[in-house]
Amino acid sequence: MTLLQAIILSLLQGVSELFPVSSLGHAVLLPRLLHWNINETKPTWLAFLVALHIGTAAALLIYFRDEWINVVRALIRSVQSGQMGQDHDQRLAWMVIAGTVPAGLVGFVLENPLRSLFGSPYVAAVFLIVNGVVMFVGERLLQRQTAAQTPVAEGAGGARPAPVPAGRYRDITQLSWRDAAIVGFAQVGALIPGISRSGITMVAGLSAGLTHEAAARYAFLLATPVIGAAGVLELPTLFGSAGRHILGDALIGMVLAGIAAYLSVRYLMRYFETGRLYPFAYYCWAAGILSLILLTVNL
Amino acid sequence: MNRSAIFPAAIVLGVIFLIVAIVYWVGGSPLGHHIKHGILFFGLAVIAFLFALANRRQNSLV
Repeated sequence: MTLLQAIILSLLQGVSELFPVSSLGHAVLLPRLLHWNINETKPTWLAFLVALHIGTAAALLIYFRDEWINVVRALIRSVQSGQMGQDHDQRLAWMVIAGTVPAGLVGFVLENPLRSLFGSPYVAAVFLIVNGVVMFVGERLLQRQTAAQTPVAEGAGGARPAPVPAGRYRDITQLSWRDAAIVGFAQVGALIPGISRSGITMVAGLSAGLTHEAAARYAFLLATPVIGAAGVLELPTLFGSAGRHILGDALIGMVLAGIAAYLSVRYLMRYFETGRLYPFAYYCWAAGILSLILLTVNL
Repeated sequence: MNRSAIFPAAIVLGVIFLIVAIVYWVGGSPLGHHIKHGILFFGLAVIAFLFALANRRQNSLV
């Protein structure tokens, strides 16, 4: 892997990990489409990926630092008092745990079988299209539901939806424990290359009644421990014999992925104040179809 | 689930996770997957114990 390839892959990871377009799908597709001779089974590649994950998780931690400080303090309060869910932050803390643990357990069992089963670029391209379908259908169903629930103002000429439509929550802690766990569980889908962690978690959050902004916030809060753990648990690889050869590239990649991830999450949190998932669905369809064509032509 | 059963159930779950973690650590090589899996299960055990402590008073789950 050259330095230029490392830089491009780092920026791509930082952006695509948080945009709902599947970082794993892009990591599988891009080297193949550009004919980069990267062996993704080598320990040096794993060490490089570890660095990128740590950079991305650090960016999320920095962006949501106030939430995380409150969550940790609330968790301590909850343990000290022997009662949970007494205030907003305590409930949020346990909801993040409820959303992370089931996904972590299932991911632990299924990660290797799913990656080996769906690791081909063709499969990644197909699932990128599926990812677009999931986001499109999720938005469509939500639109119909919202239209049915939003009352039409008299004489308004064109009905304007309320800032927060009826039946939707701006606050994550208004979710039930069951829904919080189900939304977190949706992250398991991201083990398949082409399916986006943030995309599928957001669709699950929207289905559970969250607004786009709240669904995005919950998706990013849930992603932080998972991405961070994936990086930290593999740290010995980065500082072991495999990582020594690429430590410079890995450190540059970590910083670049972190910067790209920070800018991405800042943009996305603003975007989802009013924006929808449609543009990302269209992108996934276009990228998936184009990848399938290019992969087929190259054969 | 009866709320008074949450505390003992979480303790039992935590102990099970802890045993699994130890089994992984004892059976694994220093940098192998077993060590990482052991760390994961240790983390789950800690969460289970924290959950138990946060539910040691009855009717605390809101």
